[in-house]
Amino acid sequence: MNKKLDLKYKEYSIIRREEIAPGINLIRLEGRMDFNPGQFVQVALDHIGEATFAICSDPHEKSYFELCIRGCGNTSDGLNKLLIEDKVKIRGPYGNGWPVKQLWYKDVVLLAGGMGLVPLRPLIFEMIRNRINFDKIYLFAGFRTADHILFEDELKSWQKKLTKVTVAAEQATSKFWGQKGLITEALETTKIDPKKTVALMCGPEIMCPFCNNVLLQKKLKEDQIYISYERRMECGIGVCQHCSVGKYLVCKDGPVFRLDQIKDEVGK
Amino acid sequence: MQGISINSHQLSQIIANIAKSFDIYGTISSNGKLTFAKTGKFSELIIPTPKTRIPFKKILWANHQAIDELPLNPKIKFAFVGIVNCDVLALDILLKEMSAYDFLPKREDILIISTECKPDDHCFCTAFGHNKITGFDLHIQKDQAGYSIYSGSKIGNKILKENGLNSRKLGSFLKDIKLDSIDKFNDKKLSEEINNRKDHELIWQGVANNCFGCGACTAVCPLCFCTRQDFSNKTDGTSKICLEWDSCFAKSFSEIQNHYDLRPENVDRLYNWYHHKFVRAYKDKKHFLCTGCGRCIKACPAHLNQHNILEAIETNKEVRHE
Repeated sequence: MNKKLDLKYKEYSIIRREEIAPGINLIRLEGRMDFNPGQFVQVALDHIGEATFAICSDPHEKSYFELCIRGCGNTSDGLNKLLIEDKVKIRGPYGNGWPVKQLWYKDVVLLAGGMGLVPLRPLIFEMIRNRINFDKIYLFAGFRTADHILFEDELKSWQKKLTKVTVAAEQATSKFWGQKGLITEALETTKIDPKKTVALMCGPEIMCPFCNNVLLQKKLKEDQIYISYERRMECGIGVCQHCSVGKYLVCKDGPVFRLDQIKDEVGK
Repeated sequence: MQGISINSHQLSQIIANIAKSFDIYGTISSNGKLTFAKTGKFSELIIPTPKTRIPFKKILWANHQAIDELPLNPKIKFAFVGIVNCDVLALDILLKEMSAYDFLPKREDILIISTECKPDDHCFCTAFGHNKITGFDLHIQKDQAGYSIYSGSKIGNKILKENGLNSRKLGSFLKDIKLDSIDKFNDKKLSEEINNRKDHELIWQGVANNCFGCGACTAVCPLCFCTRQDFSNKTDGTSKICLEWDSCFAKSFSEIQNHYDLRPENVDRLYNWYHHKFVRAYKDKKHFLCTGCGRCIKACPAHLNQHNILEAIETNKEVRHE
């Protein structure tokens, strides 16, 4: 019998905190979080509120897990002010996560827009760990400016481990080591084999249709494209209905959806 | 089904006996207003029963419910006495919707003693084919001699037996619900038509133009259970996370970070309400999240008639105004 879903919280202590981009902190919490790449948690901050965050650490890490917090609301601003040894209440993990096994022995295109890199990071760790299970891996990560690049050192190190890592920034300085412009431009010029490629993307709502167009032009089918959706989550377990997209609930049925399944539901 | 004829004294005795082992909730008049509240006296119950503005959900799925007090596990079981057929059906649907979670009592832990309803101009339960009185443990109907009582379950039989109602004095037959000028919907067609938003965009837009987006309909609906997490902060410094009733008509309902609203227009939010009730729920569990109780029609300050809107969508005609 399936375990009944509940709203029980567990308390975790912050053991490390680092500002990795302006207004964006990577916080490390002590304790094990058993999760699949792409899953998310609900983080409650006493007296203030609750917000949804994708877990962004290595899923095999047993002693801690990490959340990447961009201050853009009451809870995330409050979390960004927390210090080491402060405690937060967390429930989850929730959602389906990325379809890791369906990527085995395939070419994988990862498309991340800004904070969209966060839920992809555990998957990248997973794929590097089991590199032999995957064929070519292309990562396209786009950011607003060169200052907003997340996990910059890791992106550089992944260049050696993945087939191709393209970092693009719309506004770039002379010191910027990546490519000026949008990730769609870099994607257009990359040769991919539509027969054995699966594309995974996460980013702002506006980014996805542009990326989908390029991928479809490259003869990928809609069932080869997966998107992780960002929606307002309150309960995370399918009760509150805030995150509905047509007949689906992003918290329960997602957040990762195959394009052919979700395309007619967006906008309902 | 033929009931057992009882007088008001016998009914009062049955209620009193039930009150020994259950917490009784029913439709009562308090300060001149009808409310669904705790009661223990037969004299307070109204039969035939008019609908209260806020239904039973205020007991089972209460606004401001502290999360750490869930699952709702009362020491004394609930008995809902004086609950009408559409609400009995709604209760059953709510429990089915919540069956994946450990929040609410099970159906067998709630005693349902339904009462004959007093349909008003807003009722449209028969549009969903709910003409028959069902789902009760016991049902009470007023008749010329007093009351007729009907059993619909094992526990209903047991209660009648315990109250010495074995030597049956037969009462009247269980009445069906009849509402004038309400045609039955074709459930499948209705769900499909609502799902095809583009085909009815003009109707949706027309309704949205008249809708204030106040959320009164969602507050009174027995099957609107959307919530948001909120903190209840106390002066002693403690804080509790509570489930607050939310309305999908609220502007912020689908807002994500940086105030990016995924349902920016009232028409998007209004459509989502119908989509959840008649498409999402129907696909998932083969029921609508509407039993035609008509509370939304009564509560709407813009005088929108949800029954007429559904009729217009199903038949692709203009919304009737009356």
